[in-house]
Amino acid sequence: MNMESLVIQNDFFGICLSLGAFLIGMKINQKMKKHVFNPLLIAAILIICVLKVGKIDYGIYYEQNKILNFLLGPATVVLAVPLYKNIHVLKENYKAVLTGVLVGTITSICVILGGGVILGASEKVLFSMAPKAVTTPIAMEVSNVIGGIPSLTAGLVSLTGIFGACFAPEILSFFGVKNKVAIGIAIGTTTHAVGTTRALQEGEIEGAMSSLSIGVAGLITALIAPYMVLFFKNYVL
Amino acid sequence: MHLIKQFGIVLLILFLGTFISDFFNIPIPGNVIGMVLLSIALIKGIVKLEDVEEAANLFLNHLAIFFVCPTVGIMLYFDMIKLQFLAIVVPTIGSIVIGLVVTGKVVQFIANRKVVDEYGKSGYTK
Repeated sequence: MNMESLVIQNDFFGICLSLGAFLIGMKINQKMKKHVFNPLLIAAILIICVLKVGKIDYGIYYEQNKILNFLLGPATVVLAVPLYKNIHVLKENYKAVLTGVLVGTITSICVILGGGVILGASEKVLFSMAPKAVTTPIAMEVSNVIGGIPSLTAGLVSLTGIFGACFAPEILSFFGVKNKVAIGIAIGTTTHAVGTTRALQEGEIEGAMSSLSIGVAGLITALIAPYMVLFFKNYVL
Repeated sequence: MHLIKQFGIVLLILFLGTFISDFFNIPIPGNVIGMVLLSIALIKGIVKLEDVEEAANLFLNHLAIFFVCPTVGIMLYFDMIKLQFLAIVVPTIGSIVIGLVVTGKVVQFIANRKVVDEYGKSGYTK
């Protein structure tokens, strides 16, 4: 066996690469103090370069990172904790929060489906894009149910989150959204956990509201996206 | 010891959520049902916050790391994205921006109206 395959075939290579790249991403992010230097974005670019240069198959890398995917399950379950901790804010603002998340979720699915159709996206791509606003495990499952490509959905989910982490607070302030609860809910609803990492830096209320909406938006998407797509398939396409 | 108990609780709830999802054949993933179950258990006091908090924070503080692998997975679709570049990128960014602004505006409008209402009511009674 040559040196190269000794490294690549090592079961722990992939996970070391992921964690190492993410650490570098976090370091650069701390040094640069600019939100566009998103740790996840830097990590992904680094890993893609390593895989391309080393001619390593993504399948091998994916297999070696199975533990991270497995942990997405418990990571979703514990989203109940920020929800519970902020249950009083939810009780006080439940009308605003639920209406906001519901309207936001429906709007973002409509825009993506409508925009995709107008610009000529293929059906598979269209349905892969539809659930991209919510957290990966939910989005992949919804994508699977409605006939998209779950792994493409997962990638789009991440890119959506990175975009949110880089620009969401600026976009909101540009359009005059100043209420902290509103900022948090908007970020969590449209850019899930990755956007929430930025919301947490903006402030405690923003972070808590954003964490809370990941779960609520995910749940609403899981419940309504299949029916929206069904409606879309029957009446628009 | 206590961390093992905490992870045990979380994984048991995940097991139940997945079981319910499979048994009733509902299109909601087991982990989301698990999230709902844990929320109910916390609200009802069946599970105490201290029983899961530490394990939960371990996950919640590092959520972005779980997105590394799927983000890298986008490399499988570079060709597809190149072919349908505008059709993928424009709606994606458009839906993020419009989704953000619509959600933010709706929440802000309702939240502010509530404040005005309460202010109005208290002013009225005086």
